[in-house]
Order: sequence, then C-alpha cells, then structure tokens
Amino acid sequence: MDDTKLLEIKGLTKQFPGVKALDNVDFTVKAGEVHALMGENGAGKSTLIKILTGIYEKDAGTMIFDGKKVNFQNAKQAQDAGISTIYQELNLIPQLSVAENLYLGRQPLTGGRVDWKKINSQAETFLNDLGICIDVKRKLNTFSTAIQQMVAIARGISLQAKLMIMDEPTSSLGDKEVEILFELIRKIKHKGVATVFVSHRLDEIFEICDTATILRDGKLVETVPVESLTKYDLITKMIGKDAGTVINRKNDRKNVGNKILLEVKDVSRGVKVRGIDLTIHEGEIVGLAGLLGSGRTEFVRALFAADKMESGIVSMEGKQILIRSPRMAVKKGIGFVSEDRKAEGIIPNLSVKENMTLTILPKVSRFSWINKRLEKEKVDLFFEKLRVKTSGYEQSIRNLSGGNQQKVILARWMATAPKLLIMDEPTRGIDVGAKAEIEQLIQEMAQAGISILLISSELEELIRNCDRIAVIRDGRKITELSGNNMTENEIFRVLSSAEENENTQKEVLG
Amino acid sequence: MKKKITVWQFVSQYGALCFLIALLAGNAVFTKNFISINIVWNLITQGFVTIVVSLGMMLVISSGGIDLSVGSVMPVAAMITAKNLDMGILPAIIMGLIAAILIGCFNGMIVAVFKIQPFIVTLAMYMAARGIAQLTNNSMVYNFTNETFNSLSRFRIAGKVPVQILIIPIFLIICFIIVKKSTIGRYIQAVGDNREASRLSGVNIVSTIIFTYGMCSALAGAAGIFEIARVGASDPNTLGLHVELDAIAAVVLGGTPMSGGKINLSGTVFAAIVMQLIVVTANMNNISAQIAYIVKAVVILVAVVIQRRESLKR
Repeated sequence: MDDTKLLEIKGLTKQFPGVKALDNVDFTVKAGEVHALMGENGAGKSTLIKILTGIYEKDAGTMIFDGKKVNFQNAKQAQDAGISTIYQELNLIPQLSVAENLYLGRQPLTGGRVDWKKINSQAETFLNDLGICIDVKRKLNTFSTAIQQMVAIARGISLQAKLMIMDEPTSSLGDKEVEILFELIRKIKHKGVATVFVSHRLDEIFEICDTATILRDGKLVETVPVESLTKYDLITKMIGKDAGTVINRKNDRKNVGNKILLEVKDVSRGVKVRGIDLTIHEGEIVGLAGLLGSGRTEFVRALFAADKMESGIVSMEGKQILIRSPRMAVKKGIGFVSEDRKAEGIIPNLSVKENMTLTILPKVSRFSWINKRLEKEKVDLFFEKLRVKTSGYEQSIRNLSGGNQQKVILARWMATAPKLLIMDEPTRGIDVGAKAEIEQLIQEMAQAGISILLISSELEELIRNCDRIAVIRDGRKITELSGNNMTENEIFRVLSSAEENENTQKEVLG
Repeated sequence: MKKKITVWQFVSQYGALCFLIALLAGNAVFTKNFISINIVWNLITQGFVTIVVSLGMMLVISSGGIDLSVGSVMPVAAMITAKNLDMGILPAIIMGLIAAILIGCFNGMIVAVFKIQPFIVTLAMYMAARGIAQLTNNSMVYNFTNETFNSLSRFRIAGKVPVQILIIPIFLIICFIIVKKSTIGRYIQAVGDNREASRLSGVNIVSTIIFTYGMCSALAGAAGIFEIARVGASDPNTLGLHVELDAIAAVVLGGTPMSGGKINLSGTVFAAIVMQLIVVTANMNNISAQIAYIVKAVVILVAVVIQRRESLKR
C-alpha cells in the first residue's frame, strides 16, 4: 500500500427534505487500501456511496479523485473515471456467458464480427490471473452468487477501475464464499485498486479492512486504522452509546418447558433435506447451524409447507398433523420469517399497518368487513411491544429501514399468537442496534412461551440466543449441542469431523 | 426543491384528475357550446361502459393479472339476458350475470391453479367468449322490445337527468367497499404486490384470484346488459369490441401499477371519464376519431412516464 490519496472528499453535505443525510463529511481513501464504511442504517453510508457513484448530486463539498476535481452527474461518468460499484443485486446479465458479461459492450471484433474464440480465451486468462478458475462459456446464472459477484468485480477491474465500492457484498454469501471473495479483494489490492467495503458483519471488517470510517447521523465520527480498534470500540462509536448495552447479553431465561410442542421425524425433500428429526419444547429456542446450502433453509421451508415435504411425520402437541400449505401451517399456529425479507417478507407498496395485519385480517373483521378500529388497536399494541419506529401507519413499508421492516414482520407473526415461530436469518442485513433489539424480542417471545426455531449464519448469534443447537450438514442432522457444548469451536469441530467421515465413507464406497 | 417534488408526487398520484381538469378547462375555452349541462349527461351515459369495465379491470390488474376477455364477456351476458327477457327482467339479468361470473371464475381458476399467464388465459377467453356470444344468435343482431328493460339505461330523472347518475354510484360503492373495507380487497392488493410473501403469510391465493376475475367479469357482464338496454338491441359481433383497451388504459392512467399492488380507485374513475371526454372533445370539434385515438395514446404514455419517474426515485 502506498500513501497516495486516491480519493479525497472534504465537507460533503447532502440535504434531503427534512433530513440532513450528510453533514460536512470528510472521507479519504488511499490507493490500494481496503476501507470500511461503517454506521447504522441511516448514518449516511449509502448517501455517500450514491454521491460517489454519481447517482445523487452533492449540495456542498469537494471531491478529488485520482488527482482531479470531480462532480459526477451520472453513474456512467463515475464508471469512466474509474469507480466501479458492486451491489448485492448485480448489474450483469444472468442469461449471458461469463465471457460475454465480461466484455459486454466492447467485444473484440475481427472483420466486423464478434470473435468468440478471442473473447473466451481473453476472459479465461484474465480471470485466471485473478485466481478465478471457471468455465467462461457457461451462463452466468449457472454459477453461485459468490462467483457472479467475482465476475462483476473482474469486469470492474477490466474496465480499469481504481476504486471498487462493495455495498454489502457478503450478505448473501456463505462462509466459504466469503473467504473466496476476500482472497479476490486481497489480489486486487496488490494491483493497487482500493476498495470501499460496507458490511454489517463486524468480523469481516476486522479480517479484511485496513481503515475504517465511521458515520453516525450523517456526521463523521472518526477515520481510524482497523488495527487500533476493538469490536467493542467499533460498536460504541457506531451507535454512540456504550456497546455493553448491545452485546454480552446473557441468555438468562429459565423457564424452558418440558412439554414437547413439536416433533418431526424423517423429514425429506429432494437431495437437500434427507431425513431430519427434531424435537422442540414449549418456550424453547432451538438453533439450526450449518453452512449455506446445508439444507437448513430447505428443512424449515418444508416444515412450514412453503415447499412440499416429500416425506416425514409431524406431530404437534402429541397429535400427528399434516400441513399441506402455508395457510394450514398458520392455522396450526406456526409462523415463518423468511430469510429473504424483500422477496418473501414485505408487501412493499402496502402500508405498514396493512403489512402487519395481513395474517390476522379474519380476526379483525366480521363477514369480511374490516373493523378499522380493532385493526388499529392491534397495530398499536404490537408496534409498542416491538418498538417499531415509523412516522405513520399509512406509509409504505418499503420506506422503512431494514430493521424496522423486520420488526413489522415479527409483529405480523406475533399477532397470530403462534405456538412456533420459524425464523430464517432474522437479523441479516440489519444494523447492530436493531439487531440487538430483534434478539431481545426473540428472548421475550420465548419467555412468553412461544417456541422458536432459529437459523443464523452467525454462530455467535445462535450461541447467544439458543437453548439447543442442531447442526445440519448435507441435509442431515449430525448432532445436537446444548449447554456448555455450544461453542463456535465445537460446532466447527462437529462440522469438519462429519466431513471427514463422509469423505472416508465415499472412499470406502469407491 | 422540496416543493417541486411534492408537485410531481401530486401529479403521479392524481394524474388522471389533473388530465380531467385540464381537458375540461381546455374544452371550456376552445370548444363551442361546451359549457352546458347536457355535456355532463352525455359524458355519463356514454362513459358508463368504460367506467364499469375499468373498475373490474382495476381489481384484476391490482392482483397482478390482466383480463383481455371483458369485451367478449359483455356480449355473452347481454345475449343471454336479451334472449331470456320473456322470463322476466330480473331472472334474465341474473342469468346473464351468472354466465359472466362463471367465465370469470374459469379464467381465475386457470390462472391461479395451473399458474398460466393471465394474458394467455384471457386472450383465449377473449376469442372463445366472443364465439359463444355469436353462437347464441347465429352472429345476427338480436332485436327486442321491452320498455321496462330499456328504461334501465334510458330513463331520465325529471325528464333530463340520465338514470346512470344513480347507477354508477352503486358500482362505485361496491368497489369502494371491496377495495377499502373488505378483507378480500386487502388480499387482492397483497397478492398483486408480492405474491410469495402473501402466500407465506397464509393468504389463500387461489380463492383471491378466482374472486378477482369473477368480479371483473361480473362488472363487464353488467356493463353489457346496461348497454343493450340503452341501444335496444344486442349485437354479438360488435358489442364490447376493444373495450378492454380503454379499460386497461384507464387503470394505468388512474395510477394503479401495471405490475399489481396498491389500487387507486378514484384515479381509475377519473381516467375512465378522461378516455370518454377525449372522444367527446374530438366529436364536438369535428376532429376525426383517428386523431382521438392518437391523443389517447399520448395521454396514456405521458401518464405512465410520470408514474415511472416517481417509482424510480424510490
């Protein structure tokens, strides 16, 4: 890393109606560094990024990029100047091949025709050079999200980008994929390309970033080398109050019932779920640990009948039941918070109120006529319980922050008075403050006797919250951990030993 | 800056009303004899079909679908009613409406259960229902004389005010209750806005969609029945022809998103009136119908561009 300033922003200010999104912010990125941009939702991170990439226009301040004073009017100008953005939703074309995506819009021509051989071989060399060894002729959508992201990054590099902006690139990646992505980030770093990295996962910041700039309420808190920070400091700086209020919370519930609420046996669906047994007690929080693609999501979806369960026996409160659709599951007292809040959780253009009461409309209506007063009472009740922050019940839910959206969805389910609530990654993409609140709510619900089935990619989160953790691998439950056995090391040990077993098995089977 | 945004938001929310006011104002200045109460009465009697059919189309579009068959459902309901008038007016109308509802429920069932694209399903029904209507009378116009039935559309209160002024509010109230007050209206909009999230929240997708298409067809059927009462004859070949286009245009101009979701009820009504007013304006100024078509097209495009501008900003 050299010390030349690649990007120097001074006094950046951006005013939106009613809110100052950025207030006199300085931000400097050196060539070849990985720079974390930290802050809670609404701190101004995305506004800063959008100004940097020409989507918003700044109200005041100066921007010097690569030695030149710049003021991007649109995304193309920013890209031409050498700023490349990798969003979670990729702006590549999934139906085209990797090579085509890489050279989209500037295919090498031979005598007026596109030279496929040349494109493919160029693409292959280029990607190999970055340590990505894949078949460039395959369609992009046949690869995992991680690979697709890497192709996007590679495209940025090939466009001579000097600064890569990665807005939550890891939010939909598994641990292994994150490692591969980080490897790539280190590679491009050696090429002198700087990265601005946004992530809610703090561990990642400490692993990959050199410097961190922390924003709060649109103001710059500090820019510091990551080495000089502890996780505790970082959270304290981000939320502006002592981090002790957020982390280190002990799971101190003591009333886990002995009554079995749900017992499932031999649940199977395709190759992803291959015979899982699980028992959940009343008021118990059971965690599902496993890598992405281990079948944990597929298992809970089959349990909720979001996808068809191919075989398996489900008993609830001692009686065997058959759940054929989500509607039946809801009637039986099961709720489901999907991992994909945007696609499967919120009804984006309906109001906050309408989103919350969707599951309980029959309860607040007579002969299909909605009793608005009763509906509002319910909303009042649960929004207060869940501390939902909204400027009005009639506002579209998509205008809320991720954390508040998630709380509305939790309210949607709590209102049904469920016996079991299945939560798939309930804190993904949510800032630290809201995340702590949601974990708190999970504890409160369990305290109130609701059983919880919790999936999370963050083992710490599972360990913090769960009474028992079932470890899933390749569609099977390997083991269950509880009490003092619930540690990250133990989970990793179980996961890897199972891997060895499987490998030896494969060898034996030939 | 702040004010400018609110103006745009206003236009996108109440675009249809803005167009309506602009058109009326323009007409008041440029069209001779425009400012007369008769123009209002004409607008209501002639715009009746567009308004009623648009309301049904609005429900279907909100649910994330589209119904191209409304223009063919009109003559089916109309022919069945016309041919059974001897049995009594009410039974005849009920039979016509039941036929329409069955067609709609069939559409909805195919769309929801077999998950076929609504465009294809209702395109097929567009052809089939027209054929059915023509079969009822060998593709010939069916004439009938029934003063009482005719008065459903021809009666003038105090000899002046068309009876439609009372009938349109009935349809509006029904739709208002569905959209704003009932659980089904909530479900329709939720399914249209995010079908998977609705399903996972326990919403019955199949019954919601069947209801939506059934209701849309019922409204189209009613429009057909009132229309032949006005004309005094039922023509299975031309009745309702192209009405689906005006209806879709009215819904879009009215501000209900084509991709489904939040309903703009008043917008749809104003937009349906705009569609009719463009035709009336053309007539009164001796502008050819072809020009009126082009103007309609421009109005729709401008409306959609404004809508798009707003939704892109979010």
